[in-house]
Amino acid sequence: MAQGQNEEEWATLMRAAIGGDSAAYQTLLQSLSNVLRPSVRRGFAQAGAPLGDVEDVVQETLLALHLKRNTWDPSQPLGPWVRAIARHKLIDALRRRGRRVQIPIDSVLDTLSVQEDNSGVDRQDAERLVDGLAGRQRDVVRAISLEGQSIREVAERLNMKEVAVRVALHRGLKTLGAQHRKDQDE
Amino acid sequence: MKTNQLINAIAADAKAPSIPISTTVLFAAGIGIIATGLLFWTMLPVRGDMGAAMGDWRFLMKWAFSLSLLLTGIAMAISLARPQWSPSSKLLLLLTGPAILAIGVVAELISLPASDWMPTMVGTAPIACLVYVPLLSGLPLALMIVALRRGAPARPAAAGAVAGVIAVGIAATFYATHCQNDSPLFLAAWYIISTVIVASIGAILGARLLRW
Repeated sequence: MAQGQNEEEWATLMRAAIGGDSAAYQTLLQSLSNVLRPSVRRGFAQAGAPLGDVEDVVQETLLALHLKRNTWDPSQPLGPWVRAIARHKLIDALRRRGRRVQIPIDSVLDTLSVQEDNSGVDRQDAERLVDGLAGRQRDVVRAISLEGQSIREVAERLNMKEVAVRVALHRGLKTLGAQHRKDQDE
Repeated sequence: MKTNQLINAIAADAKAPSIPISTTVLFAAGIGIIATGLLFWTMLPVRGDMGAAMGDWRFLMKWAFSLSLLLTGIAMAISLARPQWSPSSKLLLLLTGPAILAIGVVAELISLPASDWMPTMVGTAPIACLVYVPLLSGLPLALMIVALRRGAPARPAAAGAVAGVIAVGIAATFYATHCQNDSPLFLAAWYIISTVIVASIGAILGARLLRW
């Protein structure tokens, strides 16, 4: 199995990402999202939940990976940590949808390494997420994510300092990460 | 927003600082120790016979108990702050403090006549212990909860309870230098009750504040 190799590659990329390497981070997140998607979909299918929300959970997981990357121990493999976060987000999402969650979830996410190509099947889209942002956070996150601009370009266009763009981006991502919490508490 | 677009945004944020959770927990515990120490010295006098107490195994046992709560609590908190934690034998680590105490209790029961057991356990100020230890725990508990909010605990209530154990470890270490009841029998009753109270408060706070 290619899992061992994957593990090493992932851990290396994640260490680079934590060191500030955006390109490595992008490669890693892309690779993880492709592996997470089928796993989350299987979790939804087993719980009998509508598959339309699978991508939401993938995105929530990616956000949590980012915002909680300080809880990964760089001397450990990345896979078990990613699985634990994905599992947490999956269970959370299913509970929010009023599903009773039972044990199979474990076995579902144990097979993180299985790759399926289904990019055409899922809508890979979750409109919900960005709507919760306001003001500068919204402008910055939108420009970087939707328009693919760099931090510098955004800074010039919005007439902001680069530091301010970075802060707004980080806060924006934090807000996005906390968003489903709010949905739940309301 | 498409997932690819979200990935763009996250990748652009790679330079945001990420402080390892273990560092955060240790830092919070350090601040908790200093702040609780300062609060203690403004609130309560250190016992007059401190020098003599340092030579008494009973007093040293109080510290052995409270410091093992503190250290095992910190070790557990760092584990519990990670998402992949699941109940394991590591939890037994938390029994180190109570185990040390149990040995002391046996030694004390052997060295004292049975008629002294009850008065020694009740001691001279059990209520003060029940008030001051939880009171002094408040600040470090709050600090530990704030630190653990940066974590991703699989079991928020358990993480909160361990934050409480750390807080009691700090509070009891300082309070021990005021409280003149050194018998392990006294500890086994009142310090344990205080620990259970604070750990329960921690669990309740954790269940609410440490979800992510």
